[in-house]
Amino acid sequence: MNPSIQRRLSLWLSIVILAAGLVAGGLSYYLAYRDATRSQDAQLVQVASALSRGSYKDAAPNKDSRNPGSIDEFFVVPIGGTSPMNGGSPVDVALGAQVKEGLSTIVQHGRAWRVMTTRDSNGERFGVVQSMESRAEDARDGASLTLVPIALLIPLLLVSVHLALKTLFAPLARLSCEVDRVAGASLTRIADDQVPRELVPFIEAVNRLLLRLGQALAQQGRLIADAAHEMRSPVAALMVQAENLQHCVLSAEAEQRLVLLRRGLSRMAALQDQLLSLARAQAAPTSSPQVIELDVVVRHAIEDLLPTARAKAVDVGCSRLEPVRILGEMRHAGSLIRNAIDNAIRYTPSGGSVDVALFKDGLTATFVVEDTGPGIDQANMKNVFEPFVRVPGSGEAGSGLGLAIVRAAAEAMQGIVELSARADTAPGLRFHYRQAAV
Amino acid sequence: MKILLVEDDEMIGGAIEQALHDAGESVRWVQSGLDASALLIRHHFAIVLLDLGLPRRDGLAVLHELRARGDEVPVILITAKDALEDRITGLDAGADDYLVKPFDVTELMARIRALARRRIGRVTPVLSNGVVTLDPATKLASMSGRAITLSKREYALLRELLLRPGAILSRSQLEDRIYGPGEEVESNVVDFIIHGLRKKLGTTTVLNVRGLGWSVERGT
Repeated sequence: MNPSIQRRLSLWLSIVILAAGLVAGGLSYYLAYRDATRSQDAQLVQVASALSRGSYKDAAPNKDSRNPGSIDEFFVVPIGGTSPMNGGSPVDVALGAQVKEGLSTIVQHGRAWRVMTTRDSNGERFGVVQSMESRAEDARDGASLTLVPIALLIPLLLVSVHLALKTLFAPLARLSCEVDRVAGASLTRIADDQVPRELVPFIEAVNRLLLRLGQALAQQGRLIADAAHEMRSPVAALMVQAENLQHCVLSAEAEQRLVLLRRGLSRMAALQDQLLSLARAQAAPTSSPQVIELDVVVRHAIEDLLPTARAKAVDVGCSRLEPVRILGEMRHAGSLIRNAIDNAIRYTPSGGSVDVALFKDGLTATFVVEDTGPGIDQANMKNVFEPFVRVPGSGEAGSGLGLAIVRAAAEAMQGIVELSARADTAPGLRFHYRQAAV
Repeated sequence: MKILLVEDDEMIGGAIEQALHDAGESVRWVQSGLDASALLIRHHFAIVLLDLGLPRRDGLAVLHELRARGDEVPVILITAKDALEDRITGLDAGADDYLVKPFDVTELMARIRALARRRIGRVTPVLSNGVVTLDPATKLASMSGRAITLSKREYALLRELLLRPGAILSRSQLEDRIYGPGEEVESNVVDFIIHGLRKKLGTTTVLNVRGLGWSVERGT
């Protein structure tokens, strides 16, 4: 699995947001807690100074208590005394003479207390005591409140960062769809007007690559066409020379060998012809599509192939031939029909038959060729459209290009070619071509 | 017959020259368009075999010049250019016929003979596919040197098939052509005539193509 930028960004941003939230939360909690403690001290000092103006003994117990009986209150304790003034309270603090003047913290019987000692107007020392537990509880309550905004903000940030990333990366997903489309079709440019500016150089590099690839492919196609073309003259010359040889006085053996030689030459000529056909079928359109009467093409193809079929004692015929018209280039229609029938004749043994049908199925032109040959097993159905792939064991001396030409022509005319077993389950192959009719 | 061969390719030129020699023709072989033009001004040839892709002067230019001068010498184009447009351009420029490489010598010779016949004004109306021959003058068919009398309809049907040997004609096409306008077509008449023809000429002369119609074998 490749690392995803989107996921990594999402992860890192989440970590940063969480860490920042924790630090900010901790800091504000600490500051708020400290402030609360300070104001509690100030309150303690204030209570003590209020009491010091008169006699501390006059002080009403639990003067500032909002909640009598609880430990959340101030207690007034005489210095040197052992029991608190407010009898009945749960407080059990004794302040010895050694308690220093001012604010301090003492621990007695396992509980901590905050004490403010001073003298009253009579000069008697006393202390105002507050439980550390209740102070801490108050401070915690106050500080906790400062965490609320941060706690609300963090999930909000996480969600919005995630959404923003998703939106920002959407053009990338669209882009890969576009690249797929371009690669599947004819290697045109990828449109770069819809993508983020940062990606434009990348897209341009891809476009340059596509251009070079297209040029290489075209060059390859031209090379094949040129090679086949250049072969024509020498092949023609060889054929003429072989024919010339026939006019010489030859021994019976030499004549026999000459027949084999000429057969080989014819095969070479046929192969080179097919190569040229393939290169033409794969070449860019040379003219705009025209209306083609497919039934006429089928008729002419059968006329052309009849001598071959008769020489092999294969019965070629039409089970159905209706007037069908399509849009396309003649060179494609011609080579598709011709090669499909030729292929069927080629692979049908002597005494077999080839049935051709052409009809309109709704709005679809349908061309079917069924033969009584050995057929093709399922595993090889796809492969046979590749150049120079022959059905293993068929022993047929074809060029191996017939179906490749058919496929290239079909693609050029935007039709669909299918091979399958015969409809009637007899051994043999069914060739099926469909294209929109006009 | 004096033949001018214009072909730049050593191999193919030499081979065709040899083949024409073997057939007893007198051949002059040149390898460039300029040489061809020069020769054509000074000498008279019975036939010109002209390659289209020539160095220095294109075959088409040679042909244009020839026809512009009013020279009607028959020209057969020999070309590796198999695109339909080139053939049409060549024929439009005044060529009489064309051959695409590679070709059989027998085919080349047949076309040379046909052009030569036309040249001397003995355009033969006799139809043949190499097996059966039909003479419109006598309405007689002949096969392996044997003359065969045909009925009027048999003659008409065989003539249609021999006009373009190898072409498949459907039942309705044949009916249209052997019956005049307004004549009523009897049912199964085509089958009946074919049956008659096969009896006289043998079963393989007129071929049935399942679902399409009938044809005679293309001449070899």
